[in-house]
Amino acid sequence: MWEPFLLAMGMLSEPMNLLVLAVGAVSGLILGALPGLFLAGLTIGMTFTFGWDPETAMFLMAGMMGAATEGGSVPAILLNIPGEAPNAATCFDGHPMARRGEAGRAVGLAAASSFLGAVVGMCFLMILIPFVKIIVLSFGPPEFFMLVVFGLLTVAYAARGNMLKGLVSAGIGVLLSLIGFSPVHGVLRFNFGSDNYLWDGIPLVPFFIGLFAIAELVNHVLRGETIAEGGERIKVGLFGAFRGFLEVFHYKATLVRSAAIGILAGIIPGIGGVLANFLSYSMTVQFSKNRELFGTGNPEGIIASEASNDAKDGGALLPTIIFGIPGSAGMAVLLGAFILHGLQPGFFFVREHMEIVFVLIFGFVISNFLASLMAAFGADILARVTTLRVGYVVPAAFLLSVGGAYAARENVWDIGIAIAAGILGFAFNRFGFSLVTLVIGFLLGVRAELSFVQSLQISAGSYAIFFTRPVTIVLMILSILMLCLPWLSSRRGRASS
Amino acid sequence: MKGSTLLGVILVGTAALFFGWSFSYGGMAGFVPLVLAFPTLVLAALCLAGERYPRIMSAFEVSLEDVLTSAAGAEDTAEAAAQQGPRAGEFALIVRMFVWFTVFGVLVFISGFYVSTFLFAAIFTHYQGRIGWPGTAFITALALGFFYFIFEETLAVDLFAGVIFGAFIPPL
Repeated sequence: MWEPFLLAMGMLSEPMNLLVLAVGAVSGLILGALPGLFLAGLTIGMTFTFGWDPETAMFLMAGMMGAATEGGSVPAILLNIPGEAPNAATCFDGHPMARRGEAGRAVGLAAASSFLGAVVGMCFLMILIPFVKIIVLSFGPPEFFMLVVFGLLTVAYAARGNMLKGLVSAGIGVLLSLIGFSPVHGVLRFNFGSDNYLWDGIPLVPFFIGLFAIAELVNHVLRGETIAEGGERIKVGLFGAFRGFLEVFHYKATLVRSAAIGILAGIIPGIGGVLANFLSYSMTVQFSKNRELFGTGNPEGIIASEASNDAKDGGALLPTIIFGIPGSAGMAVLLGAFILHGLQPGFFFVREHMEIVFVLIFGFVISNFLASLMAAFGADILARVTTLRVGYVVPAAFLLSVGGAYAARENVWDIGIAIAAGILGFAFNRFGFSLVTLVIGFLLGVRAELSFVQSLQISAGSYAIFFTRPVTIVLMILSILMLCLPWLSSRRGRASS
Repeated sequence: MKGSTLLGVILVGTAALFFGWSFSYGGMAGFVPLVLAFPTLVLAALCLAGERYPRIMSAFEVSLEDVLTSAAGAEDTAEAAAQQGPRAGEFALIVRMFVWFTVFGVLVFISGFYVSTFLFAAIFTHYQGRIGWPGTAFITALALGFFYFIFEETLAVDLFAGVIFGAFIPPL
């Protein structure tokens, strides 16, 4: 435990890694403040890490991911527009507080809550990893296969919109992952006549860039002239920000409860920051003696929202690292970065590359710290960034996306994949199909197939292996329950009406 | 045909393609995709049928996120609006955007990164982005500078030179 910890500390002390982390934090903060652009930026950022040391790449990813939600709180408070979806509840009390002349206090509260929430989340991850390692040891191929099935069903259910569409997205994602040469069976499958280009399957980087970056740019063109419209901008006072920073310590119970909700929401695949955010806010309202003050600029409302959405990263990293099952689009991109750098999450990852886990933990905490300071003292500039004209942002971001899609493999056909994936991603977003389930299905499909085949090899071809082991039985029951949820929900709805 | 119906048809077609294709592989190599493609095909067909018979879709209108966010009194109107499909006039803009992107891809193939970046940045920023010439010149210079200094010099990426300049076309 201590050796990888010290190794990661050593990596952190290298000037290059510190610089990369700081660049990641600054870009994550700015992208987080620009509604809808964070995932696009994160995916483009991932492409720049190609050829880097894995740990340096992880510092960039952690830097960007850690700072994003903090960046999103600033426009939520000053403009009443959440930069990121998980900042939505910050608007409820952040903006009213800013409107009554306490913008600095609100920004300071959000900054301190975000940082402390992230610290609690990462501490939780560090404490839990040794225990989870023991649990993971009991996971063989049948358990892993059932876990993937359960994970996909959970994500399909948890994602916004229709469950049927979520399941179709997952299925299409898994099918697309089967394209290419299968090392398990030794055959080239579903290659559409391509014997070379699709040998390794659909290339990950241009596929992700298309889905997350190019599709989102079209959405921005449709939305209007500037990245974030509307809302009056309010000035932030530095003294107020400092006061808000310290005020968080008066609300320790709210902070800890919100962080705990964030962690729990993060662990469950698909739940993610939006739910953590609203769940934590509504729980804080329930526990408060002054419920009538919520929505009028109550500091507890800001703390509840911001502590939970930053603490959830600690929880969300756990299934991503231990099982390779990402629970959100951001974690799916992080998993993509793992794959890009030859890292395969799972028990062996934690055993062999524990230093990478610590690199991520340090990266998230330091990035949150830097982002909190920058947000508290540079909120005015950050709010101004959101009024950038789409006419400037879209061509620059598109060219950067295409460059990134090409750079990973230096293959010109990758540009075509990126544009095609952009059309697919846009259509999925537009008509309520979940991109998160598509991506998670795409990332897990091949591993699920491998586990399925390995399970049958262990059992000499008997399917009973999936019904006779305790963990697979539990996961199967949970999966069936998940499938029955629409029916149960409609029954409950009928009964209550 | 509505956009959502067209997407439904494409998804059913994709699942059907994988389903039919699976039969051409022997043993587990074909069995696993077959087992995956069949439920996907059925679900995609249900989605498509739901376009005509909304009751099918409403039976699956359940989402943990929706339940909890509405319980907390929040409504993400922007996202809800985004899922309703294109409004009048938007369809032409969507098509135009993807035509711009595709033309850029074709230009890169023909004339390489530098020429196509210059043309795209200048024409798109000015005419589609409605930015004045000084702003357009800034974005064009920024994009070209980025390609040269970051991709070519710093990341040592060998940028595609274009078929008219004799670039090697990777085999498909």
